[in-house]
Amino acid sequence: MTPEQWSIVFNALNVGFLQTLRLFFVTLIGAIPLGLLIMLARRSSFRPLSWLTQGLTWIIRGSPLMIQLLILYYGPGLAFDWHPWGGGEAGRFSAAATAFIINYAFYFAEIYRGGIASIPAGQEEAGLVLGMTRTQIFFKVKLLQMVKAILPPMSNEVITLVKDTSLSRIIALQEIIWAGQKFLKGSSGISASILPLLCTVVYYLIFNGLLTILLTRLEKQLSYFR
Amino acid sequence: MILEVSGIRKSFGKAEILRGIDFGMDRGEVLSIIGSSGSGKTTLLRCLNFLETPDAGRIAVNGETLFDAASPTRDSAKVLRRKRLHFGLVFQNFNLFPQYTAFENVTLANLLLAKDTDAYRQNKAAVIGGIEEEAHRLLKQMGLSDRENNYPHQLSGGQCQRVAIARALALKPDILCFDEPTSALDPELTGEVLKVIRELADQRMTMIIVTHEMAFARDVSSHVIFMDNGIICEQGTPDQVFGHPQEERTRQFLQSFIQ
Amino acid sequence: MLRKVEMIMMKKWMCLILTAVLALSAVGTFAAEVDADVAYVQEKGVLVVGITDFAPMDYLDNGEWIGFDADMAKAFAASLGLKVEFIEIDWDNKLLELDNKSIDCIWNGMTLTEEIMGATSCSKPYANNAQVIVVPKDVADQYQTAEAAAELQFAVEAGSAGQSQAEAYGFSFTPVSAQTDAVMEVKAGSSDAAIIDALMAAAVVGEGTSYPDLTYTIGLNSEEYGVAFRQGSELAELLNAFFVTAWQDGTMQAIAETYGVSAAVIAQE
Repeated sequence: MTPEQWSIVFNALNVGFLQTLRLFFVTLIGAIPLGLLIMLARRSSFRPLSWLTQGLTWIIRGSPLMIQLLILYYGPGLAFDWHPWGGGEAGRFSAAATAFIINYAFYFAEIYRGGIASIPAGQEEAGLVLGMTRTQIFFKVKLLQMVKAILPPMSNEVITLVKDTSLSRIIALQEIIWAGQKFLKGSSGISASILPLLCTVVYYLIFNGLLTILLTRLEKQLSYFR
Repeated sequence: MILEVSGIRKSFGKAEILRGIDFGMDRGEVLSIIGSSGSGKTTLLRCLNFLETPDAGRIAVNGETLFDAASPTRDSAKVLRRKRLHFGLVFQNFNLFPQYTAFENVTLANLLLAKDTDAYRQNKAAVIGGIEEEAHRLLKQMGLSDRENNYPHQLSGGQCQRVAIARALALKPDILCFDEPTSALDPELTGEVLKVIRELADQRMTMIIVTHEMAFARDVSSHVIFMDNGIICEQGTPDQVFGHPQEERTRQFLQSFIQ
Repeated sequence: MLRKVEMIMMKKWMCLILTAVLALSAVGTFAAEVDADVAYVQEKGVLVVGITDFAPMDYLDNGEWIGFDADMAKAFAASLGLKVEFIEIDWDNKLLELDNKSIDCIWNGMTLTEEIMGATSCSKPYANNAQVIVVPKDVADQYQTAEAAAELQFAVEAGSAGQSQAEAYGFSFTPVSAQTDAVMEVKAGSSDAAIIDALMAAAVVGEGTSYPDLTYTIGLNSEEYGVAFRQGSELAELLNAFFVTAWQDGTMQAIAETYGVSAAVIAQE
């Protein structure tokens, strides 16, 4: 390929990767707090709510994210002639972000649940007999221990999320894989070139490398206690 | 009397753990509670510290009723906190907060409590200074001055338990409770913890000690309760209970320790 | 290759699920909406055109979609006082996108097959096309008849008119995800030949293209391009009328000239 063609390719990949990053960050920002709500619902003493959450957890975690994307984006229009998303790129992004947030929130909720379960009951009791409120116990005693406990599994999920964003191409969201694959199919006078698609790997590797450094640093910061 | 306990009952499901407990103690007394596992000793201690709610009975400290199952009140969190602070509790497993140093473990609760006071609002530095000074003093008393900045995982079990005792003492409880304070320790480490408790007894600290260390209980206590199957089977001075037990169950229980 | 087949299987499965969802919904939603679709698009003020990157019909130039189809779509939307928005879709999902109203039409060098005409309201044909066989130049002489080509292993785009022809002739073939993938298969030697659109073959194989050592031989059929709208939509009629006007005032010929497809365009009268 000529330098001009490479510049076209990298422009397209950059635009695609920006979309990948947007989906990644929006998913994290939405799923981290939503996961907390789901975890609370799952632990609720109101049984029907807990059962409902367990059922949803089974469905969301048990079925492919790709199908969830398709049902969320095409389902309402086909079944009810209802079009909440719109056909544009923004609508596709909203649908993809919604599906990703819901899917990841259910995974996060299970991780949080494990994190809370890993804290011995004695920590809460010690706080209580020292006259601390439950809120103080949560924020001053349990939260940091929970964060430490969930950091390794959360890191795994976060790295997986970076790669999972490429599933959104099933509803034609133009993330980086879509951008790279275009040149395989033929675009801007470049066709049958697998190089752009291979280049997307470099984007993923660099970004995941940075994430790994960040997460490892975070884990190290919490390694002062056990 | 500093503490009056009467008619305490507690069931978990169908299992009745406490079947009517009555006792009282005076300021400066050391009460040891002995008995086999499952006799209800720990549950009784947890009831006193509001970690369990008795199904029946009454608990009063310094003549003030803190709990009465006959006239239940829904205490606000604030009132419950104040009531709790009459008691301190040292756990079998220490339950130190792992992310705080020994020193921070001792000061944390006091700093949080102080934040609601007028004194704190008026002179923050003085209040914090007072709390820290007290923590230094307590850790020194526990022989841990050189360990103040260590995290729990860097301390031995005996050291952890001594930090836990300092942490409980920092809140100046009327009555300090110990739930089998040496059961989780290696045998060679129990001595240092028992020594600290004995020093507290010498300073006339009011204490309730649930323990399996019979020699220690006999030596340090002013009063001993033997619990069996949810009731007080026998009580009296250490000499009466250990030297001349009246009940068959007491004799059997003590016998099992001699062997 | 296996993965691609799996993808296709998966999409078929997904279609089944969505069909089931559809079947469960009220029958009322199927009631014909004759003018409702025009009203729907006019209310939005935007005609959303589903396309793929397919030179010379729809392709990107400095971030703008151009091409014979793209320029015609812009002119058609303008004639209705609508804005136009081009959305790249997954070609396999084109009918799904249309029914979901995430696009309002498919305008992308689309062959008018029986399947498409049965499921949508189509415009009149506006360009001629054929399915042609793409082979390496050095063996082109041997495969000038369908009988001779029958011994070849083909690559075709899944669900395309090319696949229909391969099935009709009883060729043995592998479905891939795009026409250009099919061409690449030939170049790579993993398939002997491909079946693709003549208009596309003219653009992508032979001298001065990415595949100078490939060529195309016989046409297996002749077919026509059209634009698909939702079933029952009057937009199809409006487009037919627009085609006539654009032919009479020469706009259509001029656009065809720009993109080098004059020979293929069908006169609109």
